[in-house]
Amino acid sequence: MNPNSKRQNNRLQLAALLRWVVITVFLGVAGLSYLYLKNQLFVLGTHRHSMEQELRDLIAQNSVLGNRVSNLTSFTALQRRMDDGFLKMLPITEHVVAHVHPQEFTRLAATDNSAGNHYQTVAHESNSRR
Amino acid sequence: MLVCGVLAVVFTVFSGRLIYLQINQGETFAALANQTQIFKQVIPARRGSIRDAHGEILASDMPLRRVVVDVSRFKTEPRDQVVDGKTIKVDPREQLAGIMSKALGLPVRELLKKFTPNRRYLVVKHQVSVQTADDLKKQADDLKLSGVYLEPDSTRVYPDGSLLCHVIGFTDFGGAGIQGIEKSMNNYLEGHSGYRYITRNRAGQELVQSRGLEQAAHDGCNVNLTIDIGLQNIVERELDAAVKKYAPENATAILMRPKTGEIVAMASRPYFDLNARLAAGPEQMKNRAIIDMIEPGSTFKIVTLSGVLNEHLVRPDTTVYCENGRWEYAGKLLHDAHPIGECSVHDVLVHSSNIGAAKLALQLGENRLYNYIKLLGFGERTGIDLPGEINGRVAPTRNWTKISITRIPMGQGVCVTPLQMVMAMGAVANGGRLMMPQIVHSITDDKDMPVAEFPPVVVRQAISPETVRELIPALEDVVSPRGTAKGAAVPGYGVGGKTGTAQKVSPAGGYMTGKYVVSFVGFLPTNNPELVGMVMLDNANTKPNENYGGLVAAPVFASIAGQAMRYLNIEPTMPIPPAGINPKAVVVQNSHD
Repeated sequence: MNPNSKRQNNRLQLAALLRWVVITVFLGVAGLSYLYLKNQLFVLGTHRHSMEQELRDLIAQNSVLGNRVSNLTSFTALQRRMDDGFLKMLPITEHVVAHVHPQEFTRLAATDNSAGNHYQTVAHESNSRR
Repeated sequence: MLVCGVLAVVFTVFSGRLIYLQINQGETFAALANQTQIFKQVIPARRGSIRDAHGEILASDMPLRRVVVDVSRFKTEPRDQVVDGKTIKVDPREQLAGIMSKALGLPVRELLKKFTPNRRYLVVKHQVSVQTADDLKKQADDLKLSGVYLEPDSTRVYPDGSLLCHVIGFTDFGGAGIQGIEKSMNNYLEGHSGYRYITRNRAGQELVQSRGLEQAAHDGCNVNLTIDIGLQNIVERELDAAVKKYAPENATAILMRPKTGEIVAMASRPYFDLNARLAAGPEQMKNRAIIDMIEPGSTFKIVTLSGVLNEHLVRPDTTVYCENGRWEYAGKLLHDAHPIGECSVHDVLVHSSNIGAAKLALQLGENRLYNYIKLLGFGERTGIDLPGEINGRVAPTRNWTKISITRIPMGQGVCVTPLQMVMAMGAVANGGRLMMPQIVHSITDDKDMPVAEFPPVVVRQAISPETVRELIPALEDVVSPRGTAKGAAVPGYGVGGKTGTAQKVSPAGGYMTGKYVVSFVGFLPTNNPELVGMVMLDNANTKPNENYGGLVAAPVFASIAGQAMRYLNIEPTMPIPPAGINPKAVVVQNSHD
């Protein structure tokens, strides 16, 4: 073998190769990420749509039930139930009602107590509206 | 080489065409594409509720569904279906018509007739319950029948049916209020629908990621009334009993808080069911408390007496000669139902003397009488938040005849609404202050946050508190055994009021014989009035000698007022007679009116 003859070797351009590998991987990852994100967007959109639908259905059902409760507890419904005998009200007769008297009657009751006055002073919290 | 050249030319032509389309007609095609892919989706707003003073729901929106089909999306190829173990070929249209017929109660033939090819939007049925519609959709999805859609729909429901029907009113098919509170508060109740631009794929599904501009819907506000449904129930029950007993042409009852002008109950007969309003006639729909014009009769005497007392022309004990029941003025005779000679101003009201009231009006003079009529709110709308209220009719003095000054004081020749009469009596019960009637207490949004409040409005100080102090004992005496309205007495409470028995005006002119509008307007407790009320019956069917306000309307008022006092837990102001003793049974009455 000719000692002068130098063996010709193709040297690997590692830096350039690496650069292309990185670029290729980057482009690949970017493309896949784009695809993945696009897909996720669609999946989440569908999920959001079904959630919205579910929420709408729940609100509708809540309203339907609210209306049903109103219908069943309305004055008219209770009156109808009373007429049907499903509910019964016992009238409170006058003699079992304790009346609160204003000052003058209270005073009168106190002085006339010995004379068999019918009206007794009672403690009673007033609950009149406004 | 030749092939290459041809290809180059072809591609160049195509490229040129594409460039031309993009530049010159790009927008047109984009719009066309948008038309088929982008839609404006309406987000419906929910109409607000109407509630009473305690929050009880009187009217609310019930969500429903609208079943819609896109016939162009129907599958056309027959498909296999297993029926009784056998596989048969069925047409998808017929299959869909079959399940829709079952769910919606529509004939199959009618549905198939409607399913014309390429019809892209066909409403099969409005106002389908949520449950039924959802079941139908599920069935269609299970059978893979495409082209069925559900859209939001709603209807107005009134849980109390006919209770308070004239005040609540109702909506039209489009959901806009056309009567009552539904109409007057429509701007608050209706809300604002929202919208969003959506993109759909070829299968008609929404591409949520491509949503465009979006505007959220704003639900309507809730309207909270001053009406107390408990009191309303009492009023309607008693009014129904009166209608059953006397079979009048119509009847009205109102309850109001004099200090604030809040209407707590308002009812008219005849009436209708709000949930079956299509069956109601126009007469049933009239809210007679605000749209009926009546001659008030003797209840109007409070105006004359307020005037003469307020002007210090007389005192309650000033004597008036009542001509023993017959008096001629300007060539026309004036009668009293129960002849009396001399009596005090106080007793003119207690015995409801027409002649006494006429003489007091003459003392007051035309202009001042007219002024007091206007001051107490007659001849103009009260301003209540209900549609259709009328003014009534009070002629200006220049149009008065010679005898007007003697007829108007006894409630003839003027027309008022029952509400005006209540407000005038309310002014007497409220120290002379005329209030504006209030039916709406407040407005709250869908989260119950306050939007608007309606505080009490004092219209004017119509008469002085001193005049009121002189007037109230006379009104109390009207309800005493001496007066015309002993039937209006409520055990345990001081009641003041005035009866009215007015001959009905004939549409042909003059008055109808034997037909009367009887009424009672009063308040209680007299020492601190909490409620003012009126009961009015038009042409009550009773014996001629019993057709008086004091005998027909006053007991109805007493029954309502007694229950209302108990309901509101208002302390009695005087001792209640022990059970078994009826104070009304031990007195002798000498006049009714």
